[in-house]
Amino acid sequence: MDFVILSLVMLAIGIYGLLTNRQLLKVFISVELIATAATLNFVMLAVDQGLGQAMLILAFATDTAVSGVILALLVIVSKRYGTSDIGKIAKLMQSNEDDEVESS
Amino acid sequence: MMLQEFSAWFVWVLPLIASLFVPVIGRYTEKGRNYFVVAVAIVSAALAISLIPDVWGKHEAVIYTIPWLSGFGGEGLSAGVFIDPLSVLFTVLISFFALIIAIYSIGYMKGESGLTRYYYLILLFIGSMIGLVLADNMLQMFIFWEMVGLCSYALISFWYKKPESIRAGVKVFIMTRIGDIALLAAIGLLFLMFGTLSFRGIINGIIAGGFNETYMIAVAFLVLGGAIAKSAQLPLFTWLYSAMEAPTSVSALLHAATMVKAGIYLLSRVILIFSVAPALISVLNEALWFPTIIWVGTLTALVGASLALHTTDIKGVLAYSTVSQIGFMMAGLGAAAMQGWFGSLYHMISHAFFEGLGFLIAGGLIHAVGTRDMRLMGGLRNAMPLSFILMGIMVITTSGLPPFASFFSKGLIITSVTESGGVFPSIILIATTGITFAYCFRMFSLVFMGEESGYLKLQRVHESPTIMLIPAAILAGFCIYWGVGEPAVANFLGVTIFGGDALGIIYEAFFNIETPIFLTLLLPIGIIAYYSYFKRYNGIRNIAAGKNPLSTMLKHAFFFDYTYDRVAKGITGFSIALTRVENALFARLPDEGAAKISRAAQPGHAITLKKGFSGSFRNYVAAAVLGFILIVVLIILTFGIGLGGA
Amino acid sequence: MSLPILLSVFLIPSISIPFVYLTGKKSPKSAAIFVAAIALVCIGLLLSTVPQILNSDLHRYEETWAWIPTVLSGDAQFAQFSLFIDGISASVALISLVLIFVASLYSINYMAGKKHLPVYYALLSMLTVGLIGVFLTSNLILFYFCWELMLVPAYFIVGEWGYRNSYKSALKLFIFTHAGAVFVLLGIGALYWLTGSTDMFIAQSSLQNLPAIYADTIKWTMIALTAGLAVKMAVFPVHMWLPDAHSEAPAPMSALLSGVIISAGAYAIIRLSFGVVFPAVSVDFATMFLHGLAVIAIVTAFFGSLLSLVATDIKRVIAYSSIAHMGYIMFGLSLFPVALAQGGSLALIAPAAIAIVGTVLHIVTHAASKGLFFLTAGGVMHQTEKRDIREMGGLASKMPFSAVSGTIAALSISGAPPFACFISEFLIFVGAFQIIQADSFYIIPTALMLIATVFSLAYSLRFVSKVFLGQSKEEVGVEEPPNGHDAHAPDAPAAEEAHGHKIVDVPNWMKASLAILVVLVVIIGIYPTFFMDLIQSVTFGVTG
Repeated sequence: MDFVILSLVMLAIGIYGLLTNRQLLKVFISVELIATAATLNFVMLAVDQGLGQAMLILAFATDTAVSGVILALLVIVSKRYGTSDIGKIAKLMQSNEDDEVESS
Repeated sequence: MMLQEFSAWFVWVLPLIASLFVPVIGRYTEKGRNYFVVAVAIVSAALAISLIPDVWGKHEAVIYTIPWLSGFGGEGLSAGVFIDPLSVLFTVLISFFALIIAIYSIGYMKGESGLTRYYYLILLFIGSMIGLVLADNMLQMFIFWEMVGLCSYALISFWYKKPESIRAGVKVFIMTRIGDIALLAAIGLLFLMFGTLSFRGIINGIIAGGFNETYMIAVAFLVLGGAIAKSAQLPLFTWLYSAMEAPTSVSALLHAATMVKAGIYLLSRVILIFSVAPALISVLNEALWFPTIIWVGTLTALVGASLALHTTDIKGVLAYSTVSQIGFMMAGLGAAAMQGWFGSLYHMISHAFFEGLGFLIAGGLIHAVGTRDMRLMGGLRNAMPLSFILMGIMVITTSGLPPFASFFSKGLIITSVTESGGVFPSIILIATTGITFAYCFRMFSLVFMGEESGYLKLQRVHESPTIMLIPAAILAGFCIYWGVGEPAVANFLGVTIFGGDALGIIYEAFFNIETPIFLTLLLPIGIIAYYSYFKRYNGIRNIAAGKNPLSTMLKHAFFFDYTYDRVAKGITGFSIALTRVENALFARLPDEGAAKISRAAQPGHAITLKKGFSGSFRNYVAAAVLGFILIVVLIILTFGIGLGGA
Repeated sequence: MSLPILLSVFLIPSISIPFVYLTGKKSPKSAAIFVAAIALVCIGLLLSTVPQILNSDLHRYEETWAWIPTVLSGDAQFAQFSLFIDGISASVALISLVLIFVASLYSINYMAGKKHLPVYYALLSMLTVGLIGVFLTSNLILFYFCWELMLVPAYFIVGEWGYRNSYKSALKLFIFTHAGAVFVLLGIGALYWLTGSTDMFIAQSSLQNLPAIYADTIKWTMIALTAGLAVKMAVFPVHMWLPDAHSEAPAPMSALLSGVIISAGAYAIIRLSFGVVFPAVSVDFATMFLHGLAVIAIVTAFFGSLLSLVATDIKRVIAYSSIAHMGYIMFGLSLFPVALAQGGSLALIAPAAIAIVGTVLHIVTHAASKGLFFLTAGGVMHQTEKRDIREMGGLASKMPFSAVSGTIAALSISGAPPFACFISEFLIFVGAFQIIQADSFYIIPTALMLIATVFSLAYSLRFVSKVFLGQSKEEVGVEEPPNGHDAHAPDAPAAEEAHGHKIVDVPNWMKASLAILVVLVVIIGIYPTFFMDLIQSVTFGVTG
């Protein structure tokens, strides 16, 4: 039961982080925190279920692979736009798109 | 027998299939297309006539079916044809008129564009209308009922570049749709009661008895609703005047001779079905169904006639005249007696002849003069002598002067209404007959008598082409001689009146007490009206221009259209308000609400982006949080309750 | 073991996704034809199962394949690839595949010149997989998997190739239906917890044998399931995603969204809520639940019809009409024979099931008609480069083919014979009267729904009049009208005929797809027996 509370706390931290942070990496960490919270929750509830734990190992593995890809993408994006602030990046993306549209 | 089955199917299947060929033929040759349509009409009429001998005077119907819909909660529904004197009567009438109009259209619609569409729709209409009257089950009849409405819409909006035509078509379709849903409800109830929709099945079910009488009464009134809408009776009659936007040949075919009679067909068929159980008839009478029909018919007749007297549009006179005459037919049906039933049907045929004739001549007039306004016409008897004569025949026939056909039919209707106990209705009907004479004569005088108006002197008015006059002449001939056809028709329908001698009708009509009253009232009323409208023009003009309630009522067509317009506008206004509510509530609220939440979560950092979507991404995350909390609550509820009980 | 027909139907589109992408890189047209061919193959395969559906005892055709085995708990059925097809699945699946076929042909012309087309066609294949999975499976896990799978191509197609604010509309679509799917997952989880099985048929029979203490849980499961599935169906009040998504999607996607994807919601309600859970609830709750559905249905139908009546954007008119028709379908669903609750006897209710026959048939006919409607509107938008119907008019002379197909679509939507939607609406209403005898609550809803059909005629005729009839604005010389009440009215594409182009009718591939749908609409309207046989084999045999 305690683990459920732990998961909930991790979830809350993750959501708060998602809403408030503006740095790319911090947002990513928040998302990972949420995913880990969910995985932890399920693992603890599925203690005597072989299938459950097997599935979760699979989920973990997939998660890790996806994290790698996302990190790579984040590095590219921050290098391209020269900033890690998602507000500024969105603005720059938007104006890029507008430029593209206008020139087409 | 083989021939009968073949004819009964092909008399309507042929036009339906042939209509698909019209665009193909029309691509290559215009004349060929026109003649093709006429040829199909001829074949159809021939097939229809071939059905007559086999059903003469029979009471039992002959039915042929083919399997169609399976299952349906039982053995399924078959498509079929129901051949009895009533359906054959209508079939012959429809195919005959189809032929007349096909010939007339060659002249009338000459030079118009979009004729391929016109002829396609005409053939489609003919097939659907005949299919309607020959259907052997309610679903098939309903399908054709709606298809006829669809053809009506398409033909009224024929000149689709004119906004008035479009508006008229929409108005007509929607008003008749209201009646259609009543009919649909009736069909649903019938299926509930009897488990079948075929006429034969329903008849057997009624004979067997044991059905719920409340439902039956509901069915009766709903059917009446459907008939009211389709046949332009009170309160859903204003569409017929709007339908005059159609080309006049269409007005003649659809809105005088055939489509508006669909309601009469429906009612007479239904009454015929009900009459297999006399107990049912008395139940319905107690529930005031028949008296309602009489009153609807009577009031419609009166309203129609008075509006015909008031209007200055020549097609309006004919439209309101149709409304009025169908009112007579309804009254006859409501008399709940064989005499009234027959009188109504006979009047239907006579009306088709004289009203059709009126429209054909009106079409020629409109072509020649270029306007529908009767005040701009006058003195045309010199320029268009043949039309003058033919219209004169129409006027005399409409007014119901003996020995023309409508005299007998109106007499029968009034007699049966009186006998069924309605004194007031028959008084109103007799008065309406007088008004009928008045408006006919008024129309005739305004158009043909008197001097040529200034407007006309500027036109070069010539007589209608022969190809348009020939169909009119044929109809005129029928108008004159149809009176003698009455006994034959009665025999055909298997109607026995006064103990079995159909010939007795003519004598009874003459020597009935109504006749002298009829004649003596007719002439004075008619003459008064004539003098008021023609000679003492100024007197009535002052009253008509004045602000008295009668003229206001007449000018606004008794405010029916006004009410309908307001209702329609109200609905549209409500919908627009609803759109605003929907935008404010459902579109913006989630966005902005979620935006507020995410902005509150990050004080001081808000950069609002106009089009960016990462900004709104946060909004949706905030919304997701709310959703998550909701889900948690639900989980607790579900499992909590379950576990609490476990 | 029989031929793996259903498995092939599932696998062929799945395997083809990368191949479609590769073909698309060479030529988008070949990719489109590839997708169309796949759809055709699937149709053929499904048709081959029809004889067995109609004639076998159980009236369905089943295949089961191992998927994810479990070792420890000995529960070997957790996630099986159980595929089955019965009359209802077959009808809905067939019409969906037809729509995909038509949409891909249509896309040849409509999407020509747009970017990233190979991905588009690959996404269409993915959508096919999702759809077939939803329609053809009896395993709840596979069902959920495919249900969510459908969202991915929907999101991307609407976002990438859509119109104004397309990603926003796509996101709305995704979030709403995903949130709904969470409720569905809850329901499925609850079912597993209650019955220990994830197969629909086993769950159905186990549920009925549960002790009475679980009655509340079963109730809430039903509500959760239906609510989640109803979001996909876009009834009031969870309809908010539909107007934006359907209007801003490219026309072939709009047709698929409106015709197929929201039908999947209706199908799922029949299959899951009514098929699995309904026989286990108490009659009282069932009655209350159905009455609730009826009320929602009426509100939805009127809401959709009225909003469609005054909408000014051509695709929004049709989108609101879709909401209205989902109201009709929900009304049909609310006419489910209550006698089936609590494991009632089926034999007595044969005529009462007419409404269900009508509802499923309406799913089919609505898909065909709405597909035709959206594709015609897309054609009009494509040729005239305008979206506001106040700027259109008189197109009948310039685009006669589209005018005919648009009129047929509009009339079918309004329920006019001899077109398809008439017969299905007729069956729903006849069925309604059957139910009225048993439960007089339905008198007012039926009357109101009948009145709603008048409104649907009104907006259909308005569409035809404003778009095709009348005089074109050039002829009349009217300037661009002021911004109207359509709050999502855009920075509209300028109405000036600055392009100076002549408006001609749609190109040939688009014409072909419209023609196919027109023929289908007319034929189903005149002779619906094929679909009716399929559907009735279920309702008069075993329901669910």
